[in-house]
Amino acid sequence: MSQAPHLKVSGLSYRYEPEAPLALDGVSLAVPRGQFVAVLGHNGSGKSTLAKLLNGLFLPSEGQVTVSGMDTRDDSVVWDIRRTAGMVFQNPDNQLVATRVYDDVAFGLENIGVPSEDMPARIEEALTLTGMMEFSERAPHLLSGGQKQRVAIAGILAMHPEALILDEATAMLDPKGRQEVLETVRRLNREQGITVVWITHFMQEAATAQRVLVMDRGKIAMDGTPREIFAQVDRLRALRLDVPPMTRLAQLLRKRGLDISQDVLDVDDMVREVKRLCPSCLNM
Amino acid sequence: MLRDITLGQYYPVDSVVHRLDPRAKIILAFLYIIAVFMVPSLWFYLPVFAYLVLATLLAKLPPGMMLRSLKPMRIILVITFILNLFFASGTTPLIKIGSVVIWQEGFMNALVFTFRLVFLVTGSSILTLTTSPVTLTDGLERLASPLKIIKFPAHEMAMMMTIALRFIPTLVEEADKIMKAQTARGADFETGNLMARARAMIPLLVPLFISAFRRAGDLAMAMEARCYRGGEGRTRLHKLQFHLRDLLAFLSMLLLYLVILLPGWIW
Amino acid sequence: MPIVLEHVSHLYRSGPVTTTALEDISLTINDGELLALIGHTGSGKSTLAQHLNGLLEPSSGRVLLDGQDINQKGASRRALRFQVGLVFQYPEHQLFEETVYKDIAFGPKNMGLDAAETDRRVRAAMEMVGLPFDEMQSRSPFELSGGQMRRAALAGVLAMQPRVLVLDEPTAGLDPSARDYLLGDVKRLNAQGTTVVLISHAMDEVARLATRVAVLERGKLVMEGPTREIFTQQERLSAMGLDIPETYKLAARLKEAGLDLHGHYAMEELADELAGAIKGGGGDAA
Repeated sequence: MSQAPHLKVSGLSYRYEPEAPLALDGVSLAVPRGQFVAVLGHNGSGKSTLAKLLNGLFLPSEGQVTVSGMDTRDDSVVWDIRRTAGMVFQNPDNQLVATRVYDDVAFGLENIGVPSEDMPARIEEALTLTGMMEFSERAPHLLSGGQKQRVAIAGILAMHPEALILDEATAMLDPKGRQEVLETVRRLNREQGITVVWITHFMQEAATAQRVLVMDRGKIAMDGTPREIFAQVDRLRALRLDVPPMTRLAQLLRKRGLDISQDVLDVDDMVREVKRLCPSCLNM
Repeated sequence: MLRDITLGQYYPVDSVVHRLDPRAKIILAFLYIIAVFMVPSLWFYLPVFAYLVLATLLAKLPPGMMLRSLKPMRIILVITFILNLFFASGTTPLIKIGSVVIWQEGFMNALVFTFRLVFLVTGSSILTLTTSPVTLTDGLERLASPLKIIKFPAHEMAMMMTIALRFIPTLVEEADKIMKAQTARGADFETGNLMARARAMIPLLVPLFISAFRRAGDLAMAMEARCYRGGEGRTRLHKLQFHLRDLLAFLSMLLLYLVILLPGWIW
Repeated sequence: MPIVLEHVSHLYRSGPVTTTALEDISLTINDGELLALIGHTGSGKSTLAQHLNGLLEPSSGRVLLDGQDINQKGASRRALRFQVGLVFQYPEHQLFEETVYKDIAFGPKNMGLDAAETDRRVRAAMEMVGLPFDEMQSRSPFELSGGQMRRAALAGVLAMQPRVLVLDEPTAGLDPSARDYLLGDVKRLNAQGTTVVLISHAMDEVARLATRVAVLERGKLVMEGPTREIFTQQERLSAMGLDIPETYKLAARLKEAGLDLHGHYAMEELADELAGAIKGGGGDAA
């Protein structure tokens, strides 16, 4: 396995318009192959802009973006980049073009010129990987939000990508839909080794990633493991973000003089800490 | 509730007519329309009727459905019949009611024109009843693709039609939501004269248009991300292929032409 | 009491299929309370919300506002309905006017209010949601940020000064700080006397704001009571596929292990109680 980073960003800056302020300011980032990295940030922090620069939908004003060594500014490879690094967007409806799920998954394959005979196998594999095979004859408007997003993911998977970029793909879904999509993508990361860039503002989702980036005003403000990041409760608050409820509770307990670890993300962690500090409190 | 709108009248059943190549069906529909216009006199509508009955049976369509396709036309049919009955001129009177005369020629004309309309509508509806909108679009695109030589954007038009078909239920749903939201703010879409009601549509149409534009922008980006770059180099999932049944369908149309036209040529 | 639902059922037909959206719902919404309506997508929450202001009529049963049937024929129907404001999901999708001012004024205008009163209400509504009047009133709603657009849409309903405000997923799609801001507005409105019905999937939000919770499942009202009472029934809610707030989960786990937190579920109180228990060295028998 190559040691070169899968997705690489160097000194990236971006302006939406020539006189506009920088949406991204000198961002540098290397994502190794197979990593699941979550990107957090308030609205306007530049996280969605970064996503669109990763697959060449936007081109850098300054700096460079490479995917598997291919530069996004190179016209001759930009379509390969988009095949390699597939992208799923926030609005489940505004990604599906066909009147039938099966046909929609075929769309990407048609675009990259896959022969007709090869399509059914790839489509069915993609639908099975996302658990949407039973819906293959359905019309998209009859699906739930979570199902639509899974179809969108299937549409990308059929093109055999190496990376998946999800730009707030769960923002418009209900809790069940969010769970469906997150579980599907985590499974793809685990089992197929697909590199994942997961942009979100849901803290609990970021808590399940291997690495968390926090963006603020066009720059990367924090970069570490979920535990490292969420331990810095006040800093996150200042960046207009929130922390998981148990992390907040841990901070409140620390303020009351208890030596609770920085390392609390969920109920299990909290119960563990209570047991550690007061063994006789619990009869476990 | 509004989500279940099926565009056109596609009747999903498996029949030999359903399985005909859409290009064939489109061309046959044209030929059929021309045939109906070429019918020389009333009695020659009999073979047309027989052809229609045969097609309906082969397509496994309930006969009631064919009659129902005439429903929106009923007023026009009645008017056509009456106009021709009373206002055509002729030489042989048929019935005299006071000072009003119904000529025999008028009566025959009324029948001919009315039947013509009936057969045109019912025959063409066989096309839409047996071909799904997407398949129809596919057929139209393939038929129009030779026109690429004169830069006719066959692929782009087909893409536009498919996307429109895909989004119609979604937009209908959204219109419903917007209407409810504005009604909750006291908007009234029902009372008032035409002007008032037209003005009342603004709070519905403006958000709907803006939303449609936003969708278009999002969709374009999503399509680009999936490597869409126009019609060049694209392969297709569904390959259209002519089969024996398409040939037979064309032969049957040829037969209909012969039955309609030959007697006129011979005698 | 503002709103009473008496055996409300709602059926609708699409083609040959008749679906029961609501089945025999009887519910009272008390003056000044903040009631949360929770349940799966498709459980009937939005349908129920639309019955509260007469957008939908029950197939059977009645909806009463101050004892009067809001669906009775008569002129007072509209007036009754204006007392219940309904904010749909993603309300920014309904903005349409040239300026923020005009859009917010749409409701009051439809109510037949004169220019002076409308102006008063627009200003008050903008202040309530934190949109500075002088800066924002003449701007196009479409050049605002997402969060600002949401607030402008909310102001459009608040300008009608309804007694009851029904909010369908008001924080959907908002980032954490915008979410906090909006919930603060809702809390303040409720404190000032507006009855609030909150439809939400976010259980932590519900726990923070609601005094009472009603649970819908497949069109039926299956649970109803004070917030605390509902969220302590974890198994029942789980069986319906519904989650409970983290604080309640923690309390349940600790209770199972012998540590009783005496019904304190709000963050600060919970922290106090838990800190006390740990420092006291345990043995706090329930």
